[in-house]
Amino acid sequence: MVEFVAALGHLAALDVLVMMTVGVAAGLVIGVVPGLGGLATLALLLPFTYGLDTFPALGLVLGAYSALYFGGSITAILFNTPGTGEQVVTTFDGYPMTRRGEGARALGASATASALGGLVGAALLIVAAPVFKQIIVLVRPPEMFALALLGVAAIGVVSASSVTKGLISGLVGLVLSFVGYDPITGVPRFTGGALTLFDGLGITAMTLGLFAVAEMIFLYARGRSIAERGAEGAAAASGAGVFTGIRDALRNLRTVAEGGLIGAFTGMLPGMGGTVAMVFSYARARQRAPDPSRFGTGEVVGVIAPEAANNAKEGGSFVPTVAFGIPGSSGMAIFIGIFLILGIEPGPKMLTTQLDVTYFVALAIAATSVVASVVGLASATVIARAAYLPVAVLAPVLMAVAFLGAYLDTQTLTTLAVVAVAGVVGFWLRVTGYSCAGVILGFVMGPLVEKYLFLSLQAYGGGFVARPLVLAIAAVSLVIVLGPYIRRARRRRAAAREEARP
Amino acid sequence: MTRAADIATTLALLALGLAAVAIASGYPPGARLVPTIVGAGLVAVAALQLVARGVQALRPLVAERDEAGAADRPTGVREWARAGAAIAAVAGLFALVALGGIVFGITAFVPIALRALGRPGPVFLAVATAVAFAVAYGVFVGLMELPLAGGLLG
Repeated sequence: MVEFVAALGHLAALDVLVMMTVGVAAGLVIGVVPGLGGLATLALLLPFTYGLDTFPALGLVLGAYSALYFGGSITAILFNTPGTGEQVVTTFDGYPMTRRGEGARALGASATASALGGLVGAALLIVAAPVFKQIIVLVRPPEMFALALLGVAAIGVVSASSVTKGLISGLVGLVLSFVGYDPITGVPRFTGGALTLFDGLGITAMTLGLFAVAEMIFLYARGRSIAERGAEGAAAASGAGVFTGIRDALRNLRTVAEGGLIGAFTGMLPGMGGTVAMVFSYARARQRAPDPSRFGTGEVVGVIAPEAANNAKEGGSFVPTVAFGIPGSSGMAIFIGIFLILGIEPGPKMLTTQLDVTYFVALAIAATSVVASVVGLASATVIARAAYLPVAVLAPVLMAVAFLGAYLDTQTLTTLAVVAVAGVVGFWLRVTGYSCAGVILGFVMGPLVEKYLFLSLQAYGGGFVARPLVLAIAAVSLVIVLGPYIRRARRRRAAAREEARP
Repeated sequence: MTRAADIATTLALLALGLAAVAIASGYPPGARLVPTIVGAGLVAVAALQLVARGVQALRPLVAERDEAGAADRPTGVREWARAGAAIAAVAGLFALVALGGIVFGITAFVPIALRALGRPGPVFLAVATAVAFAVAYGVFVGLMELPLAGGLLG
């Protein structure tokens, strides 16, 4: 309770509120730029946390993170162009509503559902923190080691184009994390004698390169202006239907609650993306609807359900991040980097000595969800124009911002070389179906894997792998890694049986 | 993505794993354990990725999903040329900063890249250059009080 009050105090501080508002504004603007996505936004914001105190810095990043999802919803609804890939579900009914002249109504419904969903996710984080505080005492270094590997396997496998490519992505990240001083022995490794690499490749440089610079190369390669259709969308957003949409969302509170819970719990499972949460929520709403055939033709509940789930999953994905230091999503992998930059160690400490930080995160998610929806609605038509920015302008500017941000970190040319190389490599890895999220996750988890393996061997010897909880986590990892393989094998057998039938 | 590019990438990553194992073998036991395990794991999975296409039972492990990112991949000569131009811009930015320092590098890069990648008007270019200089100078010299010169030429 003391920590909760302390977190409220932090949230109410003027500098925190200012940074949250700046973050919300940045998130909304970047969110409407399709293709930039949450990970690139987080990467670009990461350097701006330097020099800020912990809570204003967290406010800035959380504000942007919450807002960019609603920013993405604006373009999904108005231009049929989801800001992030997962928001494609919002286009199913959002864009048909716009074409029918009900874009403002869809935006109102989306904003309200998104804000309420964010509250559900934040509530789950607040409720889960004390519960996990009790569980965390059972988790020892061997279990943390197993969980770290589970996180790498899950995110890698889910975000790459195949099981093996997912695993390779995570392993490449782990290998890259070994550059620099060994945390156990102090021996410099894989530096090639370069003094500037003794502190490692740097989470900021790697993140900016793999996400921001690689994304710029992608955007420019595609070459199209970002949003191609807009006149009907912009016109539809200017109506007074926003309040009708808000009323729609409030009338469908059960859908909002279900979507919020689906999103929050899906977010807790490492590797389960927002798309899964949104699809589950959409499917559930469709299943409950009196006339499911209306879904896909501009049904407002088809906007409300996925939007509630999308924002709620963020609170959910923070649960494993703060409890075990295991990211619940790709974005959380970058958040772990942000926590480390701010001197916060994700994991058990966030449920004990740093519980106020965890509560602050939850409260900030709740607050920024509401603020983002209000500001987003008020400025939707103006902000949506950012989607017309030509990539030829956007790409050079954001590349320069990425380099500026990376240089702020270490002021060495080596860092910039890492950004440039990681950018090109990240572009190529994506082209060939590997996962940059898997690479960054392996990179972030590398030191943890090494630390917990060392502690496990010291305390339990090689027998630590036979601990029941370690075996259980290993079993879950195997299911995640081999799940797609088993499902495909089953489908193949079923198809063969079907063919063999006379 | 062509099969050759896919195989070349896997081979490069396999070589990365081999290099990790080879280099790690020169470190003290405490420092080489995890890099050796991870490097060997990378070699094993990359090798599996290479051979699995030819083995019926292993194919599901390497089967490509129809993921959303696939639609983003450049297609055709024109898009690949544009990707090449963007990569050249990244290299150019690094070279400019290396030669002239961060403030000069950023200030010079923005107009050059805008001109090379698009067709902006002179007023837009002038404004963009001024903003780039103001941001770079403001952050590094004004805020962080770093010396203005810093590149190889400075």
